[in-house]
Amino acid sequence: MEKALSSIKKYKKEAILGPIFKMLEVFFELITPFLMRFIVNEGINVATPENLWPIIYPSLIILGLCILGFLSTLVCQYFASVATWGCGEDIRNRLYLKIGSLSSKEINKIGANTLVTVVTNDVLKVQNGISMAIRLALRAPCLVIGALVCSFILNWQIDLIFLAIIPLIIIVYFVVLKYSTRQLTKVQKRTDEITQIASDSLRGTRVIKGFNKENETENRFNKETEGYFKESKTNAFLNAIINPFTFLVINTAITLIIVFSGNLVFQVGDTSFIASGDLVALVSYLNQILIALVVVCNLVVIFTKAFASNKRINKVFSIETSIINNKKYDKIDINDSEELYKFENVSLSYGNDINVVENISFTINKGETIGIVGGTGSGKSTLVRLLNRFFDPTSGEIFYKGVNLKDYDLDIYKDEIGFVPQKNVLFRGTIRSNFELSKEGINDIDIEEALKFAEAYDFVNAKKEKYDEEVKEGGKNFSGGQRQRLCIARAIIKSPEVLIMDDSTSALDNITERNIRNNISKRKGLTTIIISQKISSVHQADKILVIDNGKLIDIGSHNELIERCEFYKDMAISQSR
Amino acid sequence: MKNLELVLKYFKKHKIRTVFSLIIGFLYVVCVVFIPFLVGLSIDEIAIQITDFSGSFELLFVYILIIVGLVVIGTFTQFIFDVLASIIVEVFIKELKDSTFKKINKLSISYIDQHAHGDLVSRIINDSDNISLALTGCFKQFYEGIVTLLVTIIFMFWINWILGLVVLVLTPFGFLVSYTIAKKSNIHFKKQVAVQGDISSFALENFTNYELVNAFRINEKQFDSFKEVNNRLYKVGQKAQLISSFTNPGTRLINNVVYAIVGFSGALLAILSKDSDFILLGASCSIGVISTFLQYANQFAKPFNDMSSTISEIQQGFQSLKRINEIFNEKEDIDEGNLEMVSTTKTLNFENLSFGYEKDRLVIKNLNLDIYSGHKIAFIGPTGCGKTTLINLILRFYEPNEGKILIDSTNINQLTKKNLRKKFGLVLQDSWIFKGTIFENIAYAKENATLEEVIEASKKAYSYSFISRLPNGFDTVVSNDSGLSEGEKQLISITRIMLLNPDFIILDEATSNIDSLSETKIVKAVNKLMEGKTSIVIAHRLSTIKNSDLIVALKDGEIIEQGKHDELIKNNGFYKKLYDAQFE
Repeated sequence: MEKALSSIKKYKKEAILGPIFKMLEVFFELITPFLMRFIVNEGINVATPENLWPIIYPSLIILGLCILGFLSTLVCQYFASVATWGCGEDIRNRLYLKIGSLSSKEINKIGANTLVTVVTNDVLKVQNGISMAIRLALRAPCLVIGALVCSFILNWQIDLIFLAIIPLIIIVYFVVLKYSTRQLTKVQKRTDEITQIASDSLRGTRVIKGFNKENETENRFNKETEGYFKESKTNAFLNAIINPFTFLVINTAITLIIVFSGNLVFQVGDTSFIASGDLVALVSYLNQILIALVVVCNLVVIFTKAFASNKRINKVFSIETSIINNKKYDKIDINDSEELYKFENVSLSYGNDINVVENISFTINKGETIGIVGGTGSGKSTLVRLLNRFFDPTSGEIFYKGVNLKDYDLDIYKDEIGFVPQKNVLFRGTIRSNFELSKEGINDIDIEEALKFAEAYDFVNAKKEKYDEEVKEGGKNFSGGQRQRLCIARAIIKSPEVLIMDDSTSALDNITERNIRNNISKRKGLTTIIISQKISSVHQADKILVIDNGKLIDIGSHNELIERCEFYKDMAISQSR
Repeated sequence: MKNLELVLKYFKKHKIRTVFSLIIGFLYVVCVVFIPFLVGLSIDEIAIQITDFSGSFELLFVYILIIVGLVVIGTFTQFIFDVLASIIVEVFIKELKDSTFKKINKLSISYIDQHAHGDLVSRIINDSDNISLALTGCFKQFYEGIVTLLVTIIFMFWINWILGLVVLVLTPFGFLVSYTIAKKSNIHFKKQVAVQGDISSFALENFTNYELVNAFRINEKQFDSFKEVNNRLYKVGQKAQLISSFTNPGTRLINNVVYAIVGFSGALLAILSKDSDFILLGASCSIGVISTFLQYANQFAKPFNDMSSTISEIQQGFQSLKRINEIFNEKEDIDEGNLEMVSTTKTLNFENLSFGYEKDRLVIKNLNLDIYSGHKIAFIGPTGCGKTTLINLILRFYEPNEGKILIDSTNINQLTKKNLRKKFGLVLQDSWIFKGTIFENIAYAKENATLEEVIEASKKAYSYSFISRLPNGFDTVVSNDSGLSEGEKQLISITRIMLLNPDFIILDEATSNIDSLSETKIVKAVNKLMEGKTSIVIAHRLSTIKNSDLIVALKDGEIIEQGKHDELIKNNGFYKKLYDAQFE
């Protein structure tokens, strides 16, 4: 199975060299206080105004080490940035391909928004984890241990004080971090509530004003901001603990060192007294330990988040797609019978035991126009999904050109059908780029023909850039009716054998809809499947399938159905009255 | 500066709290700066004991006692200062959010129509968060930083002016380094965020429309585009991370260099002080002093680093403040009406009504129409013909350019908006559901509505059956995107009006999203509701308006045809064409 972190293999060099260079800096940093101790203890005593070299030498060494440390860190940072973003890019690419291979069933289950979050946020968090692992995961613990070892060499009794402090700090930091993370989630939840109320109110501003409910809305809003305030107050208390606590610990330790060394001085004769330079160095090490500990605690938080994200990413990698392109048959093997589609006792359930369509059987011949009607939630759209092979039937079989649809080459099948979705979505780009997604290598004449077919030629031609007019996200710079017509044009431009229109004329006025219907009937050999709530959209079809509650209750022409199908008749009457 | 008024006004209101927290903060800083000095004194004292054992420990004991006292005070004052600063800021943010929201509510509909809702919400939420960050930065980093700098400078020069000068001159270099890096990396971070946005919206577009991507088998083509954006993200992201990751090593380098130079200079002064010829006044140096200064060098660098990292936050907060101020500077919607009509009203008249959203583009042109008591009037016409605009004018969401609308012979602009709007029950094309229970959503129309009333209304509006099938019935919490179908949402809106029982009913394509069978039921229910009332229906499904008392066909803001269904069919005009088209 694919894993998110396998991307690191491509950046082995960076992932190993980075920390090594970082360790060099740690080493240099640990030596510095020793040199300072030498200046204070020996240098000052040995040097005279005439001979200052005993303090100049160590000072120069310190300076040199600083610069060397800096340079080696820069090398590490470079490796880290390359590895981090390289892995991120690689994971995102692999995720995108993986998600692309999934079928509707799996994507429905996870949700498109969640997938976007995985591709963006989760990968960024894993990246952050990788970056910190290279830059700090070795540095911080080594600095703590190194500083402890150095202070042990200087004075083992005082080193005991340091050792005692470390667990105390870790415990307090962790408790605070844990609670404040939890508190932050609460604050975030409150923010979500406030956002919800604010956007609810803006969306419903006419209703609110219409009902004279301005004050009530404000009160609701104020209640939420009050809740937000309370949660963030708690958060403020938690956050205010860390700094004073650190201050308390570091100064207590310094005080202890002084008391301790004062005490040692008091017991003269003991050879293990502390020289002043030792004190200076010890205070430095204490500082280093504290700073490194803060880093360690933050690292734990970052790694926890990275692990959680890593898990979510791997979960996406582990999903197996239910729609497999078997490619057992392609065009060559197909016989030329009249029968294009054959549904045999087809049922589908979306995972629970309830069948959204049940036991449906019918045939569609080449060149026919088929209408499918039914109320909302009747199962019409499910039939569309089956026709598009977004789902395979739970039971029963669908045959296309005499071959089980599961065995038909999916790429060829998708080339042969033109689909106009219910949600009339266009992709960002231009009108032309949207059409090119449908079929490559089209020219202006193809576009013109498709636009005319969809009754969209006039309004596109009136645009400033014509075919190259920009399409904004979701196509929101076009009206609903315009989008619908462009979607029809996009489906027809690839000259499909089958045209599937899922309730795709709802935003058109009657005259435009009629014209498009006429254009469809003029296309010879085109098999058309029209799904609609409106009888008026399907009444001319050769066959009309009436769907209710997931069941096919009748098939026939408009006139036949008006005669014998009670349900169809009711629909017709309610719509024409 | 004008933008700051908002903030200043608040702090004036909470003067005592603010001043108190500033004093506490000052106290804390003094403790922080005082301690290294005493530690230095103690080290010297110990050194004296080592070299010539005099046996006097009283002084050391006193130093230690003072240090302990300062540590305790410093710890508490810091905690109090942190908490107080946060609370003061949070209270301000709450007030700011509340008043922004209130202000937006008072603005005219045209303002809200013309601004992206996402942007307005973001001003309430994100901009106030930015201001919160900036203010916290001002308090904690800037105030604390500047006080620390001042107090440290005073202490340093008091102890040893030469070493003080060394620290004072050298430390700002650290600031310079981190500021330059921060500024550089900010530019790259902005680029990174922009590309991240591109990636997000690309992924969102393709993942939400996966059925389309799947239907057209364009996944591979889309992957090529994705790879391109992703590679751009790699380039900017890598650069941004690399540059920003220079900050810590950079300042660390400077700090270490300062540390070394201070140590060296201290040692130099100490050696010179051994010589009795050394007469630089007040610059004699001991080991304790060196230790004190080594710590000061550290302390002195911290405010610079903190401040440089908050500068961008403060800048951003300032921008956000500007954005919020823009809202506050908008003119409020003033209601100049003062009349209240208590009795039931029945007729509506449009007299020479003209209106355009932009001055020179009229959407309604010189419209005259009388709507009689108890009549059902239907407006039809292509999109953009001015149907919905009429509703905006009737409810005074917008004011006409010319002409007037009369309600029972009174110009509607003489009524208070509240009184006027109470008379109308409005069901809009986009149904509005807010987050709350079904009961709350329905009872919204009427204060103190009982459950019985709500149930009765829902039965009349045919929403009872689907509501009672929801997991918690009328107590089910719903929101705009909680999974109710458009039809169900519309049913709830209609139930609302059913409960309200207003004088006039306005339906704006209200039944367009409901399937035909439920629509039949609703039409029946709405007909019942409209009995004895005047009603205005806007529809593009002709079946719903056939039995109207008057059908008005609008085109480009003008009436091109009016009459009853049968008359219009006979006329063989626009209406007939529209009517026939649905059955051809």
